Amino acid sequence: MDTVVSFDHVYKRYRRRMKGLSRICGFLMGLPSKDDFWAIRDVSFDVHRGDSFGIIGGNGAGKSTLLKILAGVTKQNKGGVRVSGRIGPLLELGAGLNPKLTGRENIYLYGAIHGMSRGEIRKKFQEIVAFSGLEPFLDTPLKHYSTGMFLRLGFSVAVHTDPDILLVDEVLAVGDGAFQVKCLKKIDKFHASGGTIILVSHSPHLVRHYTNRCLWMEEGEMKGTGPSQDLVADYLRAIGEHNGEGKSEGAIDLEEEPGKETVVSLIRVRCLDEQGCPAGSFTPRSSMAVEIAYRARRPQAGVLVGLAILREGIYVFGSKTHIEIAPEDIGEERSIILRFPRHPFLNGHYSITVGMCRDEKWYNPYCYHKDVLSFGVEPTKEYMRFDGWVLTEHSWEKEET
Amino acid sequence: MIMLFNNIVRYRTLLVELTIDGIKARYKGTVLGVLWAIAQPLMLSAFCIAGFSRMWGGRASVSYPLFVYSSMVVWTLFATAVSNGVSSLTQNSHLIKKIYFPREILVLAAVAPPLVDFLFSFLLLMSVLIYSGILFHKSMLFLPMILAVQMSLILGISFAGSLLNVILPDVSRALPIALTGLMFLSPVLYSYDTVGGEHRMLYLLNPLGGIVESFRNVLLDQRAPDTQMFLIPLLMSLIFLALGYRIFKYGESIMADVL
Repeated sequence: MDTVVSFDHVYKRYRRRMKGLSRICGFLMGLPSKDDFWAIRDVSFDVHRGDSFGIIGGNGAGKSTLLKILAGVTKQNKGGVRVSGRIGPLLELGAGLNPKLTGRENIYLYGAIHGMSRGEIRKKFQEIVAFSGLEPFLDTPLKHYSTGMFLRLGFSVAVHTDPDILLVDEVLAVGDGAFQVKCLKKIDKFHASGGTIILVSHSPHLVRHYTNRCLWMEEGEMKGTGPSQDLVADYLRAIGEHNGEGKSEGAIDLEEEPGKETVVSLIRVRCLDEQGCPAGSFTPRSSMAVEIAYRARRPQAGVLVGLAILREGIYVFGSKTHIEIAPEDIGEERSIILRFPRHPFLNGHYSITVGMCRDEKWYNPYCYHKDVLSFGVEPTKEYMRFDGWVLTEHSWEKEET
Repeated sequence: MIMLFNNIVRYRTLLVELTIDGIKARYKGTVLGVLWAIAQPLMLSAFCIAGFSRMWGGRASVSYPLFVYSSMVVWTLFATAVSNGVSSLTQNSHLIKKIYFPREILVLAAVAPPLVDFLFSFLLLMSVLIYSGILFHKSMLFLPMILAVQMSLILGISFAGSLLNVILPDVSRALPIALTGLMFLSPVLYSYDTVGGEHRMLYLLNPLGGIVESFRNVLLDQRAPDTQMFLIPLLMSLIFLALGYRIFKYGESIMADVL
């Protein structure tokens, strides 16, 4: 059994006080302090060649930290990490793309960032372009691309870097349908030819379906590792016990990360029922509203607020709108509400993702909170007869011959 | 140190791409375009000549304008390269936080465009020298070596400085002030000969002084540089480079965390 990734009692901490002189002292002396936040504590697992390895856990579980260590972006504080083979990160697609350059130039730049040589890029150029479907736009500067095109370009290059291990984030679910299918097919092909995949997801169902072994993280600690079937069963059991707590109560307050102040930041997200009270659970076709509270630091026009509702990692419904931030809004709490007079969601567990950016520039958002709040839809007698995820107006009619 | 060369070779495409981007970004959209590359040393020299030529007490063999311009060309390379280099990591924080590649590539790519500017200015300088009757001389073979010494110094400072700037962004604010001071404290606008006895030892501690003087010796005086003017900076620059790179690699792993 060939081990390609091995984590051995790995710890990673982040220092909260990262500014100024205390930073230098901390850096030089490496002393522990009460400002330490241990993102990962004592995590050990192995990934074998050809595995499709999943990492599941809720928010704050430490998944992104694990990914950062795997990608080489940061280093662990304690413990051993061994990676044999080239990592191809299919995350943060778009980091490093320069909007001022053309598609063609960006392909070369992005490939180079991922460690490809000029010759390699030239050889694969046609393949990359064909895969992305962006041939007519090769000589247009990237700032004229839509978000979807951005992702296509990033993905097409990243997936052709010939890696041994693919790091996949379920965020790949965002993007247009046909391309998404192409992506998944390509990933499958990669796996079928012996490549190793590491998939990170919130959705236990996705992980059970796509992976053979996985790791379950919760608040920085490892809850277990092993065959996906078993682990997902454990995970679901644990979730069931947690229902009605925390995020599912219908409201969540958000804190700004210190030192990462942006123009606009989210303060609170709430799911409201008919009476306008926060609720974690709704009946089908009832009235539902999502309230997004934010606070701005500077006046800004053309702020785009986007909301996506996902289920098991699948994008069910999303909508966007523009808001303006006037000078009198500065520092004040403001909110915007997405209202469903009769929401279409059927029995199941749903997760809300909220983001704010400038003019469709999702690659550099003001704020982005994935799975910030969840809600459930409980079936009632009259809706028991419907299967599936969404319900819409419909009627059966007999054709008059 | 060998790691530095290995990384450069392995990621050479990225280095070239980023450098070209850097160069394009500097002059794209401007009307004068490439002319800006030579503008700084040229204009600065013009101002100094206008202001200081009355104080010229140095060598009689060379006119002050020529003296100043050749010094400025060298100085500009140092000042712009170090400025760019020190802020290269913070400018590219979005890359550092997301993808892995050897971070020194960023520093190198930041230092490369000023080097290209220097080559343009140097061409202009050579043309002027030839026009004034100063022809090629075998001591000019020293030029690549002097440039190499200067680049080592620049890189050493940039490696250590860029890392420091990540932890303490004050560094990039203090840098312009420090550079201005250094310009006056180095024999850039005046000749080393004019420096009074008690200060001469101190001046030798400044590697940049030796570099500028050697450059002028070779080009204007048509002789090989003084031994101590050349060897001391050589040694110091190599130490700066080795130390700076060591510090850089030591801190590389925390860069993404702090940015």
